[in-house]
Amino acid sequence: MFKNYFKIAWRNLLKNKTTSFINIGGLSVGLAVAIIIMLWVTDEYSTDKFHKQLPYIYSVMQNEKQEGEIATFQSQPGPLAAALRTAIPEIKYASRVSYPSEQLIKSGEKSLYETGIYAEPEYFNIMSFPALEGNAVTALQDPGSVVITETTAKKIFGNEDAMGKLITHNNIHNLKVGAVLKDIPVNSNLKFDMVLPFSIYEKENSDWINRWDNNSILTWVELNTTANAAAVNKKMTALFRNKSGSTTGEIFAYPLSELAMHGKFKNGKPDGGRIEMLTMLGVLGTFVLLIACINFMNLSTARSERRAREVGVRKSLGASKKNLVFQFLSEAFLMTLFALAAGIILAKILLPGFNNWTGKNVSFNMLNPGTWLLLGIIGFITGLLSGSYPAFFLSRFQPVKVLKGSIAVGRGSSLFRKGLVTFQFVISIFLIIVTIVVSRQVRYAEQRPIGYEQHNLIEIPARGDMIDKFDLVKTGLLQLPGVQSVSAGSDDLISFNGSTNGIEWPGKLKDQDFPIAVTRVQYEWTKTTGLKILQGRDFSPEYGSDTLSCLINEAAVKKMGLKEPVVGTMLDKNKIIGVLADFMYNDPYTAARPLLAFLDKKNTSHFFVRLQDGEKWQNKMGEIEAVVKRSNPNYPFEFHLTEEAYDRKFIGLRSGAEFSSVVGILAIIISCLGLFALSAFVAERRTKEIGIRKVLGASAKSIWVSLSKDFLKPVVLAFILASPLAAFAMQKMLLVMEYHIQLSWWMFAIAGLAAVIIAIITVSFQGVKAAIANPVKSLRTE
Amino acid sequence: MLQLKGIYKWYNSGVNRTFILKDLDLSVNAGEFVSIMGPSGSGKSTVLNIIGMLDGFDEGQYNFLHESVHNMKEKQKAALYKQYIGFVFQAYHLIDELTVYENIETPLIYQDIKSSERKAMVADILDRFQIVGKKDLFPAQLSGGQQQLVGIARALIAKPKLLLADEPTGNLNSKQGEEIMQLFRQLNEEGMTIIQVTHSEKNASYGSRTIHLLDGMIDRNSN
Repeated sequence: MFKNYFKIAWRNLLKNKTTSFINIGGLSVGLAVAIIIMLWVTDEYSTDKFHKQLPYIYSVMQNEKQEGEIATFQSQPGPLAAALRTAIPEIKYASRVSYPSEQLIKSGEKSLYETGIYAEPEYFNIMSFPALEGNAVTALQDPGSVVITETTAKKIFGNEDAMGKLITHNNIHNLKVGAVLKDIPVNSNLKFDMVLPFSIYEKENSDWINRWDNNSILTWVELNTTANAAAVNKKMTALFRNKSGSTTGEIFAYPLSELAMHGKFKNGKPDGGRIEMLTMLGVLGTFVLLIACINFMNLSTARSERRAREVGVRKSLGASKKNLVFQFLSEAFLMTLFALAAGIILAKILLPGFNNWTGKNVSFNMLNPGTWLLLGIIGFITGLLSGSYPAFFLSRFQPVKVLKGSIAVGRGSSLFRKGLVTFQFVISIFLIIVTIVVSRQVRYAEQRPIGYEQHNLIEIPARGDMIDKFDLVKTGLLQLPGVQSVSAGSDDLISFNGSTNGIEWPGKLKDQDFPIAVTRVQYEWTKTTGLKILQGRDFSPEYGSDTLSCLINEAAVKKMGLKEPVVGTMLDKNKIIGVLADFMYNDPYTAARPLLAFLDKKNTSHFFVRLQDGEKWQNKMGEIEAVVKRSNPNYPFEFHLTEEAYDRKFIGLRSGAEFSSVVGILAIIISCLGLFALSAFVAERRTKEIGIRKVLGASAKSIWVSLSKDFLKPVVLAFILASPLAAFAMQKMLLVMEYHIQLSWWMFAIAGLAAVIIAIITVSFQGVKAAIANPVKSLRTE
Repeated sequence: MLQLKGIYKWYNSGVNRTFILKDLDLSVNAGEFVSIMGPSGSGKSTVLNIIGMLDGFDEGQYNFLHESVHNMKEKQKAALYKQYIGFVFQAYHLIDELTVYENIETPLIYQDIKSSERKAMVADILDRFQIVGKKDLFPAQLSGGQQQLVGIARALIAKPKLLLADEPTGNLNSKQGEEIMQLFRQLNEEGMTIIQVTHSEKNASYGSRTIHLLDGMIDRNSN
C-alpha cells in the first residue's frame, strides 16, 4: 500500500516541479538552520559533561550581601579548601585553583606565553583530564614540577619526549615536566595549557593567601557519593562564618554540571545563564522550520482542488478516510525526506563557515547514532507538522460533491491560509526589527565618546620583572622620533579589574557601600592616554609627595556625593589632586563606574606608548620592539593596539545582530517563496476571471492591484502584530544596558516597509504575468 | 437485491425547502439491468448515489441485501459498499498519476488483498478486456472509449454484485458508446446486476427495465 502511496507522491512531485522545488527548497533551508542550531545546542550542552565524577563535582561558591542585594561569586579565600578538607567528612577531595593567566615558559631558545593555572594535586583527582605520560597528581605534589598539555609539549620540545625536561617559568623557576596531559577537550569550560604547583602561587601571594577576607581563588570539591549537598552547604557556611567573622556570608556547593548552562545568579539564586541564549536559539530554529512547514501546508491546501477529484475517486473505490490520511501524510514524509537530505548536505556545507563566524567548533558527527536520532526526530516532527493539516483537510472531501465537478474550497480554509501567511510574516518582521534595533545599539555604543585617545595608543604587556626596567624603557622610547609620551598602569584601559569597598570619605553614609575600581599608574598617564582632567592636576614628580594622593573620576565624585572643592578632599589617607572626566571601560553598554587612580611605580603591568598624530604605528613597531627588548631580552615582545582591543568588546552583540539578520533574511526568503507559489496558484485559478475582466475593459494595472491586494493584507496585519511584540522584546533587551538607544518609530517603519515591498515584488511576478496575458488565449483554454 | 422505501431528500434554502427526491419507492432484483431516465434535475444521479451509498437521504428506508442501510454507521456502509458495489462515471475519473494497471489495482489495495493475488486478478481482467498492451500507459494517453473501458474494468475488479453507472457513455462517440453498452449487456447476461443513469433511449433499451423520474418522483416504469 505504501508503495502505491509513494509512487503517486513521487509522480505528483515531478508533475508540479515549481511547487515541489519551493516546498523542498524552503523546507531544506529551514531544516539546515534547525540542524545547525541543534548541533550548536547539543555541543553547548556537552560542555564539561565529560568528567567521570561529574555528579559529585562542585564549585564552592559564596553569597555575600552588597548594596542590599546578594552577590554570588566563585572566588574563595585561600584557607577555605584546607579547612573544608579537615572539617567536613563528606568532602572527598578539595582543591584550590588560581584563575588562568598568561605564563612565560622557556626551554633553550624557545620561549612562549601559554595559559596556565596553579592547582593543588587533588584537582586531578576531581577532574578527568587524563595524562598521556606521568601522573598529574604526584607531579603537582612536587613544587619543582609542572604539568603541560600535549600541544604545549609539542610547541616547546617538538617531537622529543617532554617528560623530565626542564622549563623556565617566568624567568624565575626551573620546573621539571612531571606529566603530559591529553589536550583539554574543546567542550571544557576549564581551559589551560599548563598546570603549575599551587605552592608556587602560595609563595608569590603570601600577603593575602592565608586571609579569610580576601576572595581571589577558585575552590573545587568532590563530595562522597552518599553526601547530601544541602547538609554540606550548612556545615560549610557555619565553618566560614566562624573563621572569617562574616555574619551574612554563605558558602555553598554548586554542581559543575549546572555551571556552564545555569551560571548566572541573582540575589543568591541561580538565574539563567548560557541556557537563555540556547533557548532563544532553539525558539529561533523552530520558528524558521515552522515557516517552511507553513509553506508546505499552504501550498498543499491551496492545490487541494486539484487533488479533490482524486480523493473523490479513491473514496468511491473504497478508500477509507484513514487510507487517505496515510496517503497524504506519506506524501509529506517523502517530501520531508528529500528536504532532510538536502538540509543535511546544506548544513554540512555551511557548518565550517558558521564555525568560523561564531568562533565555535561544532562538528557534524555522521557516525554518532544520537545525531541520527535527533535528525530523525526533527524530520518526523517536520513531516507530521507540514503533512497533518493538508492530510485531514483533503481526506475530508465528500466524493459526491467533488465528483460532480467544482467544489468551492471554503472561505474558512483560505482564511486559515492567510492566517498562516500572517504568522510567517510576523516572525520575519519581528526578526528584521530585532536586526535593526540591535545593530543600531551596537553602532550607538561604538560611537560613544570613549573619553581618551585610542588611535595611535600602543599597549605593551609588562611581564615578570619587566616593570623594573620601566624608566630605562621610557627613556629609550622617548628618544625615538614620533613617540610622544610613555607611561604605564596596572590596567590596560579597556578593562579595570581591581576594586575595593573599604574606602572612607567625608560624609560617607552607612549604606554607601559600593565597589570602586582602583588602578595604579605611572607619571604622565593622562597625557599618554589622552584622558581629560577637569579639575586639579595629574601626578607629577614636581610634587614629591604624590604617593599619598589620587585621581578620581566624575562618576565616583557623584556616587560618593563629594562636596566642592573636590580637589583636596581626603579619601582615607590619600588626597584627591585631580578629577578625571568619565571615560569608557569594561562594559561598553553601562554608564561610567567610579574609579580611583593611584601613583605606583612597582605594581603596573602595562606600558603605554603614545605616537604622534599622523604617525603610522606599522613603521614604528620595529624600533619600539628593539628598545623594549634591549632592556628585557628574556621576554618575547608583544603589543596591542588599544583601538583593536576595544573593538573586540562589540563582537558579542555584533554577532547577535548578524545572526538575527541572517535568520531574518532566511525567514523572509522562505516566506516569500511560499507567497510566490501561493500567488502563482491564485493567478492560475483566476485566469478565466481575469480574462473576462480584461474583455470587459479592465486595465492591466487594476488587475495587478486586485491580485496583489489580497496578499498584502496578511503582510500588513503581520506588521501590526509584530510591532508591539518586537517593541516589548527590544525594550526589555535595551533596558538591560544602561547606555542604550531609544526605540523609535522609523525602526519599525523600515521593517514594515521592507516586508511590504518584498511581498509586493514577489506577488507581482504573478500579478503582472496574469495582467498582461492575452485574454483570448486564457478564455479559449478554459 | 435492494429496496428504497419512501425516500425523501431535500435541501433548505432560506425558509423554502427544495425537494430533490420525494417519496421515492424503488426495488431492484438481482440480475436486473435497470436504466434510470429523466430530464436534468429530476434526481437521477442522486438516486444512483444513494444506492451507491456515496450520498445520504433525509427520510425513508433503504435495504440492501437484507440489511437496513438507513440504520448503519459510516464505517459499516463503507464496508458493505466496498464489497458489493462497483462505480462507473461519465467522466471516467481515472487517477491521472496512475497507470492503467495501477488504476485497476487500486480498489484491491483498499480491500487489503495480497500483492500476488492482486497481480493475478488484474492480469485476468486486462486479458478479458483486451487491454494488456495498454497496462503501462497513463490515462492521458488513452482515448475516451479506452479510458471508460479501464473505468469499467476497475469497477469490476473486486467482483461486485452491483454495478452502478452514471451516464457511462455521455462523453463518448456513438460507436464507442455502443461498445460499452454491448459490454454491459454481456455482463448482465453473466449475472451482474446493473443500474445505469442515461439520457439516451437507445442505451436504455439495452436494459431490462426503465424508470422515468420527474421532479424527484417516479413518473413511470417501463419494461
